[in-house]
Amino acid sequence: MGEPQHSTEEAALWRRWRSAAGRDAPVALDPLLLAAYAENRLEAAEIDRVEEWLAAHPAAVEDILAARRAAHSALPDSPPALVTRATALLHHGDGQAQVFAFRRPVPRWRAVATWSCMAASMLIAGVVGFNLGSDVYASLAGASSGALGQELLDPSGFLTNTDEDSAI
Amino acid sequence: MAQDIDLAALARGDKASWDAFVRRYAGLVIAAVRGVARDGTDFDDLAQEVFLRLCKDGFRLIKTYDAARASLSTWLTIVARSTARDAMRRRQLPVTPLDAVPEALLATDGRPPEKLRLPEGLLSPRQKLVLSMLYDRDMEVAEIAQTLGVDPQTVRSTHHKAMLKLRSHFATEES
Repeated sequence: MGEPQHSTEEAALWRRWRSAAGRDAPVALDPLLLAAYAENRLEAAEIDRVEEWLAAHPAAVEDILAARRAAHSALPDSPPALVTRATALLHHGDGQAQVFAFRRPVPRWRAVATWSCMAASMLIAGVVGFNLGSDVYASLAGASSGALGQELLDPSGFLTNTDEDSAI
Repeated sequence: MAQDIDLAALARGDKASWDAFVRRYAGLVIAAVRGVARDGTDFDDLAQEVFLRLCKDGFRLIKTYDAARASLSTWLTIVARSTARDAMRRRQLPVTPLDAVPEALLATDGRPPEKLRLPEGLLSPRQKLVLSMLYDRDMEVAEIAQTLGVDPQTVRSTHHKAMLKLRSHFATEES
């Protein structure tokens, strides 16, 4: 017998069947059942159950093939960045998974740049503030004996004796 | 392969066991995730989602693992790939605010959609799987045979019998 005739008519028949049958298979299947299927460790009834599910979720067929390949290969090296992130998921000691997920570690240069910018902006604000304050103080000190200083200290002239007051 | 990982301690949430587990299997997890993810996806994010799924709810998923049924590598590859696929599906879901949907589209006449009645067990699970792999996944007969652990001739014969049943069923229905 040659290759099956994968004709349009046959594909259409299958699709017609599928649309009529709907997708009654459960949404998820125990991954252990799929793994056991991949390793040919299931009984006939369980094989039927898995194959029924796989027929409804054909994308998962590739999972079976990938799992078989993985089982027969050496373990790949673990990327250090991922190890750091994944180990940090579990908080030390209490056994509770801490959800620090999806926060990328900030690159060192970026952290340094951030802190440098903050320090620089504080320095600039400090220097400018000091200069402004210093200028005001100097101008006040320079004019303390003059009219400006008097005006600033006692704008209404209440505390100063004038000629009119002494006349009364 | 898992002989140096204390799975019981891991399921109890032991930090040292978790760290050892991650160090050993992070490479496998990211390889599995890469097989599913599309270009432009952040593999580390997906891999971390896998680890999160493994340890959340008090290590519920890890507690279901049974070394007598499958090797840890096989199980972990299945878990990683399905988690990555689900995560990508969630990210892709288009969301339309309910208010933006025309009322006519939301209205129903209250009658459930009519569903064709199919004879129970017309196709066996194996026949459905063969047809699905052929027509939904466009797999070759040899690949299917390898996946199912049978010879290619058996796949051809399964396909042939399934098609006979379908033709006969729909011919009867139409007449």
